[in-house]
Amino acid sequence: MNRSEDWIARVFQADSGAEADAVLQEELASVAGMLSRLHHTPIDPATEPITTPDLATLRETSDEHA
Amino acid sequence: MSTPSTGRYLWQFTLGEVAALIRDREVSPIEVTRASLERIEQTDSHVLAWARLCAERALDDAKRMEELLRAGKYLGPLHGIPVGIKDIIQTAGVEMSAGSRILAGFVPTEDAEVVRRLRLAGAVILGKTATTQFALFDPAPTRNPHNLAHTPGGSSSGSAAAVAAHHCFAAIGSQTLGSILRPAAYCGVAGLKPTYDLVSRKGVLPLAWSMDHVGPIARTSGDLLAVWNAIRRPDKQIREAKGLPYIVGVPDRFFFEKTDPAMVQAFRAAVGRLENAGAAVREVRLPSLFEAGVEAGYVVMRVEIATFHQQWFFSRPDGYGPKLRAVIESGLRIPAVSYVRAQQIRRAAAEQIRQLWKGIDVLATPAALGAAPQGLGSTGDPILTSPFTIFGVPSLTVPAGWSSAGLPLGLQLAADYFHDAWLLELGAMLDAEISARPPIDFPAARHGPAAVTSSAKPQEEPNEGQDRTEAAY
Repeated sequence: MNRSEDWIARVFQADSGAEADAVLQEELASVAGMLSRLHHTPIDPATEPITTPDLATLRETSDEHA
Repeated sequence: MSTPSTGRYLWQFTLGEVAALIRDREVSPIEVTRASLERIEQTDSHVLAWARLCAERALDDAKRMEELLRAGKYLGPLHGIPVGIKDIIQTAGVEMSAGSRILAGFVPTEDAEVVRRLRLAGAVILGKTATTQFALFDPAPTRNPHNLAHTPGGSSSGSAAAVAAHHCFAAIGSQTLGSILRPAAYCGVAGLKPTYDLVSRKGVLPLAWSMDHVGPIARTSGDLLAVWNAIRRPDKQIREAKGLPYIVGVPDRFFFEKTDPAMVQAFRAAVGRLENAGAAVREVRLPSLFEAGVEAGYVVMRVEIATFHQQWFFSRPDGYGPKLRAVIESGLRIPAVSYVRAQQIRRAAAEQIRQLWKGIDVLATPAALGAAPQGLGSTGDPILTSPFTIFGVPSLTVPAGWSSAGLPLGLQLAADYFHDAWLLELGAMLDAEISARPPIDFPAARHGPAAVTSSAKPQEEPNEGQDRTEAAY
């Protein structure tokens, strides 16, 4: 396990005791896997914009196509 | 009531057919509304599609529509057409519980924008259709009209089942991953998820706001077009339908690996029918970030759900089903750096997908991994519909065939932003075979005169004891 996967595992360590129901454990394990893959996806975080397609972008897109 | 010229009951007609009868004054909006209410009265004990009915108000609205016709004013193809509204969408004066105990007793004072637009177009609101809890995981009591032992899909469970059971001619649903298209496909009807924000979300309970879409479910693509034209924002510039030839792309991966062979076979056959109708078909390679972009969407969705629900979650944790509780818990734990990275990847993938439309007009895929799963504890897997929701491009499902067990299978079509009309035009090429299907019948249904339901029916509590292992957005 590299350092990246290690901190994800710590954040998503399932609760113990009464709270540790199977549904929650399954969910946390699933999301931990997602985050691990996310942080190994080859993009440059310093140059990628963080916004999702929003109204302004879509309007621009629409105008481009019109 | 059946029409003298056809011998068919009014509820059997498509929206387009009954709209023509109303326009030509062959039937009145009151007769059509009564026919829908009678059909609900006779069959909803099987389907459980409705959270609450507004029969008296619907008949009052139908009378007003009749008066307008008598005064020579016809509002268009939704004039006097009975429709259903998913119970996360506000209708003034009618309780909206969103399938939850937390919102039980909440009565909004204003219509959602989509409801306001429907009323302006002359639609008659019959009531609120059942939804999974907060449009997420925990199933509604609704059953699949084609086989009551199977899920109708979710979260727009009641909207899809009500249209399939001929309770109404169209219904409004919402989709955050697959909640319009998957139930529509499972129930053998058509559904449109419009371009992101082309239909207003004002007055619609959020799930994950950057992925929430509002759209129609109806029997045919032609019927969807009538509703879409009424509810979309007029200030947004759309691409008009362009006519043949359409270039239809079939993806090289992702949509077939875990898909049931019968679904793949029905998909290939439906694409073949589009080809016979004049479309050109070619295989296309999905962009490199496609899968990562989809997964990033699932991460963003959890953060947004946790953000919206955190106050209720901490004050009333017992009001949530176990799966929704788990999703909120995981959303609360996702680090900011992971959320930012997920947004970056989602955005980069969406940009890559824009390139896809340079070589094709429309992408065709199966709408679901197969037919509706047996049981009511899960509403099925949204994985095949989720990419287009996450990236915000329009997508459509139309019936494509049948499983060996006699359950419907759906075709999915997707296009570039604001090209919704292209999907509807292409989907309409398959409308004729849909309209020719016989209606679903139910053992206890009686088609003679029936009393009209006049009181609201309380929604059953979600069954929180059932095992839910699959996503149900």
